[in-house]
Parts: sequence; C-alpha cells; structure tokens
Amino acid sequence: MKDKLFAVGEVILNASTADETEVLLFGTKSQLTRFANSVIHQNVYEENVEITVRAIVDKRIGVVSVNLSALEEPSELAKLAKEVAERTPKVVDFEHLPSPAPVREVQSYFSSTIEVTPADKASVIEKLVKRATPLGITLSGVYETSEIHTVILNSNGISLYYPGTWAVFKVVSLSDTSQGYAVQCELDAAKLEPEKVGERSIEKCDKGKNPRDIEPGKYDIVVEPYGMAEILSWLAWLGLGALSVIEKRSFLCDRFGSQVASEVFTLYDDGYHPLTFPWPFDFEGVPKRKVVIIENGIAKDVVYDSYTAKKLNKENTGHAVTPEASRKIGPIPSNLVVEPGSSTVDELVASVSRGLYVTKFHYVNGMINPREAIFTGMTRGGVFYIEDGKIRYPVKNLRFTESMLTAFKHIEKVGNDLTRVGLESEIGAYAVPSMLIRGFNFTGKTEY
Amino acid sequence: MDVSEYEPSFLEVIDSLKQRTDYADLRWVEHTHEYIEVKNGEVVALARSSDMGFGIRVLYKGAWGFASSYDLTPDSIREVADKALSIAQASYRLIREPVRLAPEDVHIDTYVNPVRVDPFTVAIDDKLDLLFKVDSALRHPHIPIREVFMDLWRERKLFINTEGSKIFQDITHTGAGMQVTAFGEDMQVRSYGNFKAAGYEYLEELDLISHTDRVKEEVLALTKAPVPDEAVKDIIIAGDQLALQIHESCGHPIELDRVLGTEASFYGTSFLTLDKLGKFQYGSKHVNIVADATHKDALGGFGYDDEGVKAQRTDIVREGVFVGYLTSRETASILGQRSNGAMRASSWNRIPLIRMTSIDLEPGEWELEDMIADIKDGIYFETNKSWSIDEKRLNFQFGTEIAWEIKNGRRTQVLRNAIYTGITPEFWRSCDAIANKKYWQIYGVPGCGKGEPGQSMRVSHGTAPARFRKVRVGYKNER
Ligand SMILES: [Zn+2]
Repeated sequence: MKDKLFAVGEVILNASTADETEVLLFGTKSQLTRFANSVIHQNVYEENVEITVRAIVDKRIGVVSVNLSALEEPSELAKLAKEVAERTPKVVDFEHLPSPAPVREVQSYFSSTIEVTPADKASVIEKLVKRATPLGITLSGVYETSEIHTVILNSNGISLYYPGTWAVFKVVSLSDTSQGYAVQCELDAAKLEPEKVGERSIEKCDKGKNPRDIEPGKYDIVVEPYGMAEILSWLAWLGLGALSVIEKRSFLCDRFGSQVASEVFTLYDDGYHPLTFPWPFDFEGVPKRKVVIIENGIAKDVVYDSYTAKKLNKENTGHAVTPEASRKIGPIPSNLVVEPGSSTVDELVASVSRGLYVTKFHYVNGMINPREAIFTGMTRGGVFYIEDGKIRYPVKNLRFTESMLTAFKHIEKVGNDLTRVGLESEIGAYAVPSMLIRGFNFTGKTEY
Repeated sequence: MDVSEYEPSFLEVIDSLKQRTDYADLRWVEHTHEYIEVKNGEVVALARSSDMGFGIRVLYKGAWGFASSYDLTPDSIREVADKALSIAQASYRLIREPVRLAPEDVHIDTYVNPVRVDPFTVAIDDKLDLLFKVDSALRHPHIPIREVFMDLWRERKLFINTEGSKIFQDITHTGAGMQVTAFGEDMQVRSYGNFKAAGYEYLEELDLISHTDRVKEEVLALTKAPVPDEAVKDIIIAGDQLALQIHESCGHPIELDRVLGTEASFYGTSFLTLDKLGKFQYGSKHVNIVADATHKDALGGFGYDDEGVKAQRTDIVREGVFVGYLTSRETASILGQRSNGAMRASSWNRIPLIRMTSIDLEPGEWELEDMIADIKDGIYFETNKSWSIDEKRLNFQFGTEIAWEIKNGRRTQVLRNAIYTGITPEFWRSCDAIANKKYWQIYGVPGCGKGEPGQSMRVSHGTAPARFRKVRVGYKNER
C-alpha cells in the first residue's frame, strides 16, 4: 500500500505547475461484521484509495479530491487543482504550506489486526450468543478491523507516511426490558478481549431487567467513559479549535484564565497518547503538540492549524483537518485525554447518596446554545439508581438538558479507569475515565 | 467515465455467481460532488470530488456477504466476487432463519431525473458571482459571520442482479443556502436554503437573494429576544421544522430493518413494533403520511431502489392510524408483502439499508392565519437548530433557530433558544390542524445517518405548517 500511495502522490506532485502543491493520500481496507438478534446480518469488506490535492497559485487555493478509480491520469488532477485555484479569489492572509519538521515515532500499526478473518469474528460472536440465549438476551454489535495508510507530500519537502490499524468490538445486549452496552477499541486486535466485553454487556443487560420508573430532576451521576466521550466530541467541534475562538463561537471565549470546570478536571489533546488513536502529524503534515485545554478547571488554550496560528500569532499545534474542510471548520482536537483521578468506580458510586449510574448517552446535541454549551441527550445502555453509596436497581432512561459549563463545575471526582473510547462516526479515539458529577439536570423521561 | 467499459466483466461475474449463490447483485456507482462556500467575502471551500467503485452482494444459503473495491480491473472484479462469497460463508455460521427475498419483477431500464442546466458545466466564475452577490447582500455591521454555500451532487449507477435486472440511473441534486450569526447575550443564527433533485436552474427558483433582508432582520431580532419559560402551550410548527419532526419521529421508526433490530447496536430500535401495524393510533385523524419515492424533483425520489425495486408511493399513516413500514425485499417477505422499494446505499462501498425516501405529511385544509387565530397563548417554531430523540424514537426534544410568541390569535415577539419536547404518539395525536396545499413544500435533507459503517443518505419531506395542542416548551434549570 505504502509504495502505491507514494508512487501516485509523487507523479501528481511532480506534474504540478502551481506555486505550491500538497498531495494527501489515504489507503483503507476495512472488514466489518455486524450482528443483531444474535445472528450475523451484515458482513462487509471495502478497499479504497482517496487522494486530495491542494494547489496554491498567488495566494489562491484550489482543492480537488478523487478516489483512485476516478483518477484517469494523475497529472490531470494537478492541473485541475491549479485551474480551480486560478479561478478563486486571493486569501489575503494565507502564507505558505508548512515545511518539514521532525516527527516523533509512535506505533499505531499492528499486523495482528489485519489478520482477523470474518470466520474468527463469527466464532467469537457464536460463543457469546451461547452465553446470552439462556438469559433471554439477544446480542447486537459490530466487530470491525481496519487499516488506514496516510501519505502527505508537499512541494516544500514534506514527505510523510503513517499507517494505523483499528479494531472495535461492541456488544449491545437486549432483553425485553433492558439494554447493556460495552465496547473495546484497540489498535492491536491481539489485545481485544471479546469475551470480557460480551460478559460486561450481558451482565449489565441482565441486571437492568424490569427497570423502575423514575422522575426527572437533579441527580448526582456516575458516568462511564462512553457517556463523557460523546459530550467531549461535541465540545471539540463547538469550541476547542482556534477558528471557533476567532469567530467567537466557542464557549471558551471570554473565559480563558477563568474557572470553567472543577479543580479535579484537566483536559488536554495529545496526538501520541497510547490510549487514543496516536497519529504523529495532522493533515498538513505538521507534527502534533500536546495542548492543555483545561488545567485544574481553568480554561487555558485551544488547538491550532497553520492558518489560525498565523492569524493569532500562536504556535501551530498540528491540528489541521483535511483541506476541503480546514478553512470552513478550522482545527479540531482529535486525541482528547481527561487526566484520570485516583478513585475506583466503586469509590465514585460510594460517594453518592442519591443518584444515577449512567453507562452512556444517546443522541447528544449541543446546538441549543453553543456559547453556554447547553446540551441535551438521552441516557442509554443501562441506567441504575444509586442510594447510600450502592447501586440498588435499574431505572428507565431519562433526558438531560444541561449546560456543560455548569456540569463540569460540579465534577467532584474523576475515576482512575482511563479508557480508550472510539469516536462513533470516524476513526479516532479519546482517553476518558468515569466521573462523578453532582446535580446533573434531567428534564424528561421515556417509556423504557 | 463510461460504465460500459466494465460491463462485460460485471455481467461475467454475476453470471458466475448465479451458479454459486441463491442470489447476487452488483452495483457500480460514480459520484461527482462540488461544494463551494463563501464566508465573510472569502471563498473558504471550493472542493470538487469524484469517486467510483463497485460492490457485490451475495446471498449464500440464506446468509449475506458483501465486498467492494475501487479497483475495476477484471481480476479485481472476480476477486471481490469471491471475497463476497467467502464472507457470506462466514455469515452462514451464525444465521437462524435463512434470508428469503420477496419477489420482484425483472427490470431493464434507465432513469434520469429532469435537469435543465447541468451544474457541473456552469463556470466557477458564475457560481462564485452568485455566492458573492448573496454574501454582500447579507453584510451588516452587527452580523460578524455570513456563510453562503452551494452543493452540487451527481450519482450515476448501474445495478445488475442474478435475476436478470439491469438498471442505469443518473441523478443530479442541486442545493444552496446561507446562514448568518450574530451575538447578543449569546450566539444566534438564522438560515435559509434547500435542496432539490434538479439542475443548476433550481438556484433561480430558490432565489437566495430575496431572503437576505428577512434573514438579517430576524437574526438581529434574535439577539434581543427573550428565552421562553418552561410551560405547556399550543404550538404551530413551520414546514421546515416539521420536516425534521417527521424525519426523526416518523421516518426513522418506520424503517422495518430497524424495527426488526438490525440497527440496535447504533442508532437504536423502534417503538412501532410489528403488533402495531394497522392498529396503532399514531396521530390524530388529521395526520396522513406517505412514503413517496416517485417525486422526480425530491432528494428522496428515484427510479429504482438499490435492490432494483421500482419507486413507489405507499401509505404510512392514514387518518392517524399506522398502516405501513418502509421495506426491503428481505424484510417485506417476513410480512408476506412485496418490497415497497426503500433499500438505498450511500455509495458503492456500502450495502443498501432501508432508508427514507420522501416521507411526506399530506396537506390539510387550513389557512395559516386561521390556525394562529385559534391560539390564545402559544409559540410558533421555525427552522431546526437542535435535535435529539431517544433510540426507540419516543422522547424527542427539538429546538429552532427562531420562534414567535402567539398571543390572542396573533404572532407577536421573537423568542430565542426555544425548544419543545414530547413523546411521539402523544404529540402527533395532539395535531388538530394542518395548513393547506398552498403552504405545502418539499424540504431536502442531504445528511441522514444510519448504519455501521456509517452511511449518509439524501432524503426529503413534504410538509405544511401544523398545529399541536398542549405541548411542553422551554426547560427549567435553577442552581
Ligand atoms: Zn436521519
């Protein structure tokens, strides 16, 4: 794959007559087995090579992308990108494409991952189904294994290659009245423990049977990493990148240097953190730097790409997204890490006299009031009532409507269970522990 | 590029699969996409992309397998076919009931939606001219962010199956829109735009420029507007927000694959379980909803779905009673029906899933003014801003960009950050008026998500404003 990507990329780069040219190539292979009602209902394989060319002509920028089969002649693509650039008005404050800088070594590619076959996956699922069926539980989920190869070349001499592998095993167990959610994401499929994941999901579903009614209101919550990660991914899009600060859309605007979360909460982005999906450089080929976003509750900084760093006279932190989107949405952190605390999950639960244990949130939305980070969403995957420091019984799902600025100020304890949580709609992951949040605002309920 | 170049290999491989499988189909898809955006007088996106490949789906002893590739050489096409078959053999280890497909006629046909001006032949300069014109019309000292975009999309696809169908489709969509952002106590946005299955000529009909003054005035009004208190009120939902309401609370729960549990690991299941078909009071007697893939000008319209089933118009809710699902050949056979043609794949590298077509609320008899006149104390909601619904599609909460207070039968002051919430069937049963044909319009939704791996689909909804009684609005949060 590597040689193929370089070969195509270099032809395009050499053929370009633009002032500056960048070629970004992704080669992917992915196999995904999806099951539901305890049977495999979808089993798919895909292979693709995608190429994006960014050409600069006198501060004018043209971006063209194709996949390899739609590419008739590589040099034509360079020509087309230049033509698009020539027809576009100047971007006055655009300077140059980045130049080469040393990139730290980090490993994200494990051949064990690509060796997992559809038959292996079927065996794993088969075993778990045998365990679930006697309990009146059916299993749904996915077992995905993927590899992605990235090549970035530009006319200033950047020439980078980075391969990664990705394995996800997710099990959603269903009984007539309950659900259990569990997942494990690894770069190295050899580290997957599918039985454990299945066991956790089945157990949660079993314990969640016949949930009781519960009224909305304020409850202390212990939320597992999956719940928090979904909120963090919305926050990342809404306000943790420099463009959102320039445009004053970010909830961190006017709050830098002040307390936006409790003292126990520290959030940073670290492209090399082993419990994320490590990736040493961004989509412009700039090495990633660790960026502390919130430190002991104080808002510190956001992430930058070459354009926003220049504009704000800051260091480029290596957080550019792909060229099609970079000037529209700006830089985004993709390796968020919440600094773990010292409490075990049991200790978090023990600190609650009347509250809820939440596995995951569903359909979170942060658009109600982005500047105040007011979010809504449902609970999912197992909710349990906590009384006097103990999990007592399962309850039905609730809807929350809450400012995350308020919620984050009420984080009382952070767990020591730092977990890699895969992003749901793209390859990427955050490292997040469980948390105890006081007085989380639930505003509605549902029938199950 | 011309698909005829690959056709002999496709036909050969389908022929060979005929001997080795219960059923197989092959889809070749080519996408062309152009997205241009002007923000505050600068071009921030001018991206062209094209993408091509093929996928083969096989049914082996009642178990599915699918493989796909960008590589269109004859060897690769044969390899992908073998891979799809070996994957199906792995699936076969864990099936309970073999998949059966509802019968479908053999179709040999071509479908092209009406396009007067091919958007991909219009000069970039002309496109930028139009966007810059709208951008300048949106200029205002108190509006710091102006965004204007154009989205042009084409799909050409060939479908071949072992039953002898061979269908070529060529579908073009054109869309455009704008959004302005202003700041008061918080951030406020106001937008306008739409998508249609049409050529570049649609941009004339959409006429962004004629909406710029209204959009500006409304965003400025929003920066000074109050937030509604939590209360129970009579509300009117404008057509564009109602499109989203139908999408989330009707369109998704009627997907029969979802009802049968195959989306349980991601987006969820459905409250519209099989026992409710033909009996359940989904809404009031005023509510009539159809799934209509026969619109030639809607994002949810096409000639054939991605299983080669002809586009249809079918009843979903009739006088408030839930009467039909969106189906596929596999799921329809479980109900003893024929497929109503809702299997759609986002591209060559994805299998078709049951997706919305155009899920339309039929118009009522009302004049909008009369609907408002009957409200003493209510809220009028327009244009979606926030959206959330539970995984069975019961508890929803939606927020709109703008709302207006209704007092004693008149639309009065603007309200910001307005939300309403409810439980789907209770909500639709409280519908007591739907505006007439004059107000009915189709709204394109270009990014509906479903499936693992994820698939983004282009769907649509025809709606007219409707009135709902005693709905919970606003939310309370005191610390
Ligand atoms: Zn959708």
